[in-house]
Amino acid sequence: MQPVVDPQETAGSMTDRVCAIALRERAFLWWWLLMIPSAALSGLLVAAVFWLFYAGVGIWGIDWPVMWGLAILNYVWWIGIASGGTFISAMFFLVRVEWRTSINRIAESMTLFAAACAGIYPILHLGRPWFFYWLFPYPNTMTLWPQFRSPLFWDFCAIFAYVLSSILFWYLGAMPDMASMRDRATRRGQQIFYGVLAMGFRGTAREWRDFRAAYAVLAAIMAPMVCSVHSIVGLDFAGAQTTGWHSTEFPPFFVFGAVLSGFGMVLFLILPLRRLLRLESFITARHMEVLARLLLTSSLCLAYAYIMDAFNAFYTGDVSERIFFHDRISGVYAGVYWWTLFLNIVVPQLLWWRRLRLNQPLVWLVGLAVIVGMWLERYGIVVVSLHRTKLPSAWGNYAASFWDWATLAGTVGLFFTGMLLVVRLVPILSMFEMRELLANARRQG
Amino acid sequence: MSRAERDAWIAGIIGLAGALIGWVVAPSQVPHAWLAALTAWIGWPLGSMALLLTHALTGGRWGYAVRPALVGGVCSLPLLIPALIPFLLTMPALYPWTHADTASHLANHFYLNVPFFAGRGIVYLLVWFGLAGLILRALRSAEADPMLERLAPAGLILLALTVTFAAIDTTMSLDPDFSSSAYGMIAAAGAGLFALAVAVLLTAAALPPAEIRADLGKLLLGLVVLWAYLDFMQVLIVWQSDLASEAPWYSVRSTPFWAVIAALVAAAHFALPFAMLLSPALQRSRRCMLCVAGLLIVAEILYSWWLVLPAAPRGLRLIDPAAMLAFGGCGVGLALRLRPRPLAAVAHHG
Repeated sequence: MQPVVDPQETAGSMTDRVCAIALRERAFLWWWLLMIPSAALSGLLVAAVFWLFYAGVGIWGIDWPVMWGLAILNYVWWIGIASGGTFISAMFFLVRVEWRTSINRIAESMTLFAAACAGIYPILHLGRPWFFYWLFPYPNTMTLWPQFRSPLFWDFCAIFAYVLSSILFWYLGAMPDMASMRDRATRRGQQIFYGVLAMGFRGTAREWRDFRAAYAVLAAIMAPMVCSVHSIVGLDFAGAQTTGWHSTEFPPFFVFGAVLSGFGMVLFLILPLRRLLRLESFITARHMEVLARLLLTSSLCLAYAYIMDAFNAFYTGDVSERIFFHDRISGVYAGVYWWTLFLNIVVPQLLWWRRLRLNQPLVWLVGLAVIVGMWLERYGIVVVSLHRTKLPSAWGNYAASFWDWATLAGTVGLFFTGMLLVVRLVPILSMFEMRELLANARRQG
Repeated sequence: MSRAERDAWIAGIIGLAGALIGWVVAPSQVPHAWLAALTAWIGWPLGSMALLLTHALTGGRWGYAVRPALVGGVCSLPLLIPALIPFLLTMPALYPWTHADTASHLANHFYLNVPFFAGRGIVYLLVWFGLAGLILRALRSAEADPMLERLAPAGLILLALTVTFAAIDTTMSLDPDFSSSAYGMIAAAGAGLFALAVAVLLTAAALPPAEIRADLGKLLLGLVVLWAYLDFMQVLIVWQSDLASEAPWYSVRSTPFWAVIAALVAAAHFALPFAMLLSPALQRSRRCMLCVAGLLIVAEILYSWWLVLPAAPRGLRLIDPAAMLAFGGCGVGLALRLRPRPLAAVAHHG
């Protein structure tokens, strides 16, 4: 089995390398080449949001019967991508796998920005977003309460809790490294910046003891939480009387899809980053191998869910489900269904071969394929289901408007802007955990 | 013949005798009693195969510790052949879709009809016996682990599909109007949990060191949570949608008697083992692990009754524990008889 880190590396060489990335005076050229378009797209998002607040949701393509358009499907897509980071950083922390250490910071940062991108959409979709606080159950003069029996209310709670915990988990996990950065920084501005972020962490025995306990508790909260978030998103759909939505497998099905897109995005990010930041000795072939296997496994789980979905359309006594399924595979949006199957199920099968799993450009493309495939899957769930509901008089098509696409492109820009800022400002590997890993490797080797 | 094996066979024969008396006294109660016992027991060999193959992929000390017990589970699979005879004879009493007048109204008649059912049944048997044969052959060879690892991906995919459709065919189709896409996943998770609980119970006498017990405890905890999650999601979705095609499935299973059984299942299949397994100290305690494993086995039996008997519809009768005893006794007897001898020795070194 390949090593998790290059045996040549020591704690010192690793710390030097990681700190140098964030502490260097000038950013890399590639960083600017990526940052400029990302920031421009984020600007587009701001413009799209302002125009939306001014003109209302009519600027989007949503109309009867497809009242949940790109906004909701982008929300589900982004929150799915976010799951990959939590799985790697929390779930694999709890089962103590050592390979997670080199990539957990990248994965968690991905979670943070993907969850932020996801969180924007439901608020924008409200129509009157300035009343978003009505979603909170609080005593009010109108004595109006949210519907506690609705999964939509619990979805709000789950996402809110997930975003908050992701921020806490990410920040807490980075705190000892912020202290390392503070101690290594030579310029005053950097010392103050990292000093504030380190919140006085000095590395005493007591601080480490408290830190470890807090981190383990957060990990134990995050791991089930990530499953509950996607299950509740699944329940949002499963509870409705819309064709293609009412299915008892939806909660685990959404978890499978989320995990697939999450692992896809992690691979999509770490493969270029390890080269650009010269981290090949810390993010090794072992990581690619493990992540590719996990991606393949989640793709197989998703394939199972697709099989049950198709089987159930015919097994159930509901005629509208069968009509809908026929439309799904041969109607106006048939391409969405077939591309979903191809990108999410067929393409990942390449990863059965070890030689292909270690082929970086290919794995990167597979990662990209499942990210696109999962977006299409959500298009199928949100748009295609709504366009063929149970009532034939309410059938209709959907076309996303320029502003829908602008908002999607804008969140993609926001995501990459965030990731690039993290690369520039935050230690991109979890240095304190890497030191333990290297010490263990030394002891064993 | 060892003492344990003799005791198992005696228990099995007592159970069989009870079931036979039941057949003479109240023949209408036999079909559901037999199916419920078959449903509970089949989780042992199938779940054992799944756990052996999963362990081949993931590794870990726990797998070697319970391997002899899991192999025993695989060895009990031949019991399925004689057990199928009463099942096939009583099928018309179990499944409304076997009657032409009911079947003609069903939208899923293309799937629920006797010839297709028989064809699928043959496929399940071929897959299960084929896999069991390959697993046992791999375990007998000098390179057991690499052989199992090569077998595992295809084996697990085949098991996932066959267990799912076998569960739909045998228990979900008791009510042909009811459909749940999570049903197969619940059955698979239940089978894995049951097989691990039986393995922990059987290994208990020579139970491995505390760290391995803790690993087994964590694995049991994971499966308990998985099963409860999937089953609860099904209840929740059926409850929140309240559809005429699904709600009756739960209505017949929530009559006063079956509601009590459901509450017991919720406690013994989830709440109690969950609470006990959360504590690392209890995971290390042998007595606690035995209690949890025993509780889970009882819960799985109750769950099978809850799944099958209300379809009759009827409550619990004496023939039900008799049939369960027949399967339990004969299953353990067969496992001890057919288990490859050198395995126990290999396992200790693993």
